[in-house]
Amino acid sequence: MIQLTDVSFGYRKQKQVLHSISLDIKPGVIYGLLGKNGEGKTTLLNIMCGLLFPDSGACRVFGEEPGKRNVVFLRKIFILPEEINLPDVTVSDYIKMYAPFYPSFSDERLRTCIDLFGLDMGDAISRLSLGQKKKVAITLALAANTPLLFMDEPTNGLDIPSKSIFRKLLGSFVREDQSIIISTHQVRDLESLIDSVVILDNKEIVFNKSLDEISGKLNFRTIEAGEEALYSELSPVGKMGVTRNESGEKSHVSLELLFNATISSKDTIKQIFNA
Amino acid sequence: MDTYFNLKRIGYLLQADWIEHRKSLLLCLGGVSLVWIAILYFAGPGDLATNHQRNFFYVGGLVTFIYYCRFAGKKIHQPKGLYYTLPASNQEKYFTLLLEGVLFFLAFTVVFWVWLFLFKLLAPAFSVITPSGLYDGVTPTVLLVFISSVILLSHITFRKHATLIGFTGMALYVLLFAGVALKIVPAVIDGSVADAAYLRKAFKFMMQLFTPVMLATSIVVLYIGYLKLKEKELR
Repeated sequence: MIQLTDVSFGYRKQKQVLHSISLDIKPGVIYGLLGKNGEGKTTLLNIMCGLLFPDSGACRVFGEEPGKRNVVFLRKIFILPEEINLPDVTVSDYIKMYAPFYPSFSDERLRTCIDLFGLDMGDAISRLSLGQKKKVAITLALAANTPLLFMDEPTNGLDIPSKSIFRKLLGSFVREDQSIIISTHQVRDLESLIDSVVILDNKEIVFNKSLDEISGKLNFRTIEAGEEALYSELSPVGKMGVTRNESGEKSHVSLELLFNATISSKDTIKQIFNA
Repeated sequence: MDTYFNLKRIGYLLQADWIEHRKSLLLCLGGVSLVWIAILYFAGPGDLATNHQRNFFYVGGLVTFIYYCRFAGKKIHQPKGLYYTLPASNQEKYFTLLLEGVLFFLAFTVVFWVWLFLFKLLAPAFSVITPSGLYDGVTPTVLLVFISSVILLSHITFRKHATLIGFTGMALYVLLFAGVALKIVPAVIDGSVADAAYLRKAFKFMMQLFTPVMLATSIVVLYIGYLKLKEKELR
């Protein structure tokens, strides 16, 4: 679906944001794109949807070069940016403005999103709160029903019930031929949704594995006193950490612990997964 | 399916812009109407009436054009660039943008003539400018097209101060042209150049070519605008 080969990019010549990134995105998978602030997550999403052109290397999405922004490619993607900028129209008009461009647009999905998010089609967008605006933008993104959906921090600004509705909607809508790439800091919000994790650190992709592979190689559990762990931190329920999975028993993957373990013990994590 | 140029998608683009901007467009047309009515009312039916009408047409045309350029600039420099990921080709987006410029000007022209003829109907003594009274010939029209295309290019290229940059570029171009002319023309007139007759011929030839060259340059400038739109990134 998406192939990135040695992609490098910098907003200025002297300062690279991404260095020699190679990535293969498969259909039917929800990817979580994780990274610290300023590591280039949004930049990477923008390259994949043709809003930025790589300085070197190749990026192919559905066999097309995104930078050419041709119709066949654009019909298959939708990007939901972190900061949304909606026009001063009603919710109904907003949908009317963009729905005709997407042949895959689903009225059924639209109705479900409107109902579950509690939106009113007649409301003026300018009078909605930030969270409500985000719901409108998410509604269009999900109803467009494109095979590839990019979401940049989709849960930012949503209240707790809305985050849960968002998870429910995304979980029920995803098809086998559809891929969703979610860039986020709020890993706990989306932990139950993500199938595969991509971690960006220091301009490179340092980790790209499915949850199945992760739980097969690592354990996420309480760490006993004196026990060695790849990474551990104190929590209200004791010391939680990541260890090698030597028993073969699978544990629930904590994305937050995984992220911190990958950043702090990059080489060890690489060794474990390459073994 | 035509992936490069499809009238249906152009219709969608126009529809989206109409839904988003209809309120402000109608307000602007209302504002233009009020100013125009006031001018017509206070200028009265005297001898200078047609002069006022002509001036209003040119100033109103310029204001409409600047409004259009700002509209185009805002669309192209949208902070999150969603305009670029809308499923329509670059050609369709650019064509729609140019078409909207024509539609803006048409809307202004309609307001101009409708109120003018309503005044004429109410007061038959009222002198009304004719369409030919607004038309100065091919060369000034082509020159206007050239200036408009440069200003539009400036709005496509620059996010901020685009009108200022466009007019500054144009002023520099005029100064350069005037500088060259000031060097050549006196030399031709006082015969200090060895082959003044040849220069005179060249000057005449250039003047004949002025209109087609300006028209060709405008087309090139508009094409550069298209390339700029095509290569736009969210940097």
